[in-house]
Amino acid sequence: MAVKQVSVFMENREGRLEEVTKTLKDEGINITSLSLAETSDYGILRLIVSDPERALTALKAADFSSRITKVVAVKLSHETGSFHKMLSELKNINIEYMYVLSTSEYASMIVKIADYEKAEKILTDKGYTLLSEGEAYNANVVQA
Amino acid sequence: MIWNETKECMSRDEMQALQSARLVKTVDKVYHNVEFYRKKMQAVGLEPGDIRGIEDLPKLPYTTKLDLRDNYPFGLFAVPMSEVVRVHASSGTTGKATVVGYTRRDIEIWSECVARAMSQAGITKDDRIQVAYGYGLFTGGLGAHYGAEHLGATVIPMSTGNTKKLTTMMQDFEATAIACTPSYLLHIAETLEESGEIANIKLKAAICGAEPWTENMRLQIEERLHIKAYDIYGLSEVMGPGVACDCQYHKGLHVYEDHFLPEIVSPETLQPVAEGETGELVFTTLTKEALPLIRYRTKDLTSIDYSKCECGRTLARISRFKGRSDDMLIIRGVNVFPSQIETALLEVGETTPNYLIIVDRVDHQDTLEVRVEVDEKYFSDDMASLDQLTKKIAAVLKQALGLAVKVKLVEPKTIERSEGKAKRVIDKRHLV
Repeated sequence: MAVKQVSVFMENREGRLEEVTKTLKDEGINITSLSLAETSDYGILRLIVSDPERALTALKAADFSSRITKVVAVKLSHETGSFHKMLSELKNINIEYMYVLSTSEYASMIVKIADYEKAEKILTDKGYTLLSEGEAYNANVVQA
Repeated sequence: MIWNETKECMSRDEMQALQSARLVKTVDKVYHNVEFYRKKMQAVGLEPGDIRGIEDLPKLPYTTKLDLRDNYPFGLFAVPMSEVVRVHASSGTTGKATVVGYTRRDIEIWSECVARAMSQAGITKDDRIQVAYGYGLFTGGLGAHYGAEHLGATVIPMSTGNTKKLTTMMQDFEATAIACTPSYLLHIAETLEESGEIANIKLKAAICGAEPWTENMRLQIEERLHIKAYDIYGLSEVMGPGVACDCQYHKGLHVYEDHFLPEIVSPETLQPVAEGETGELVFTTLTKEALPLIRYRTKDLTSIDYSKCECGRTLARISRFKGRSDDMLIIRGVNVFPSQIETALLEVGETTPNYLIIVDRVDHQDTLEVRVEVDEKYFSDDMASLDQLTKKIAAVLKQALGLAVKVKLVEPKTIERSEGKAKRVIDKRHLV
């Protein structure tokens, strides 16, 4: 069960991140989790948001090179060793990058793997729960 | 010292008579030996007999770098290849090199011109000169080398690329003169200052060229190295370094007019401008055998002064260059046209057609940065592929320009669009 992540190309200069968050705020889009990879000149901002398709449209309209990338969100308990255990299941698979999406009840790991179908099979066979799109996009929305 | 007093100090009348006689011969020779010139003259109804002296020069059609490229490689040569003893080449506007050739006599005259320039810089047969221009297809290294040998000086053929070896030999061999680009000389000065070896050097004079520089840079070189620095000018099409050079009074560069006939014309109307007015420098070669050039447009902007110099020379002087009438950049002595960068980027294909060239000078070395927009079509969510794209563009540009280029990926639509001619170059060096 893949989850849609929004990836944005950004120049490494002041004010650019703020421009992304403003674009998303103005569209009423909530950010569930994010990670930022950088070089000296540029970076890639990766986001799990409440509505990835609408976020993509808004970012493109604001002239950001952006795209949807499929990732998996693996549910983990807030328990020492749980992350290590998950990685040992995947140790023969190359993980491109990962970052955390955490709620008060559970943690989950957003994982980018080239062959995500294979990863998904291994993880579900081992009894891991993968977050559905709805769960990931709304994982930590505070209920009014 | 004046190397060739007869030629360098002759009266204006004598010089014009000499130029006229040589021009008539040159025109006759190109008409009969180079199809390109014959066709061009026929197209405007000119015959060799119509050119009776330098007053008829404006009747002749211009020649440009494009003509050299269109006749690549040897199409404009006026002698059989068996008479050509050497070729040199420089980068052209679209990747194809501009090729030039020399007969044995051409090399001798070139050597004489460089010897004149070095004499203007006070260099004699008793000097030891490090030639730190690149040796090879570029005219700088071999041009300075042959000139210094002709002068009788001891030549140390350093070429470029090893500053440590250069500074060591400068001390060990007690070098008294150096020929290199001005920016490289400042870099050498810095290296010597940092190592504390600057007190050990015996250098007296530097003859610098191959790139534009300012009077301020010249004074800085003189002050830091405790030497005298001179400005030598040349372009491979006309010959190479040694077309003109300044003297101890630094009031313009003396043109070796008995070999290279200068004109200053308006780049817009192509009509001659008045003495002292700025325009494009145009050369007609008067003695060249292998590649004679008729009214070659250098695209360098300058003015000319025909008055006698305090040094005693009557050779006309051109002012320090005031820029170019085209968009050519000179980076670390290498000619770069923005169109070459555009062509290379199109070849890579994985960017938008928008780019910006930023030229700067950091620690006295020219830097070239090319910014390209990352189009969403080519954006993948993967640092490694962006890194690969950067490296690929840098490699293609290096191949095309012969220069290391820093490639910077930028966001789409951040490079300024304009209705007319896009601003493709930001030159922060302030050279003019």
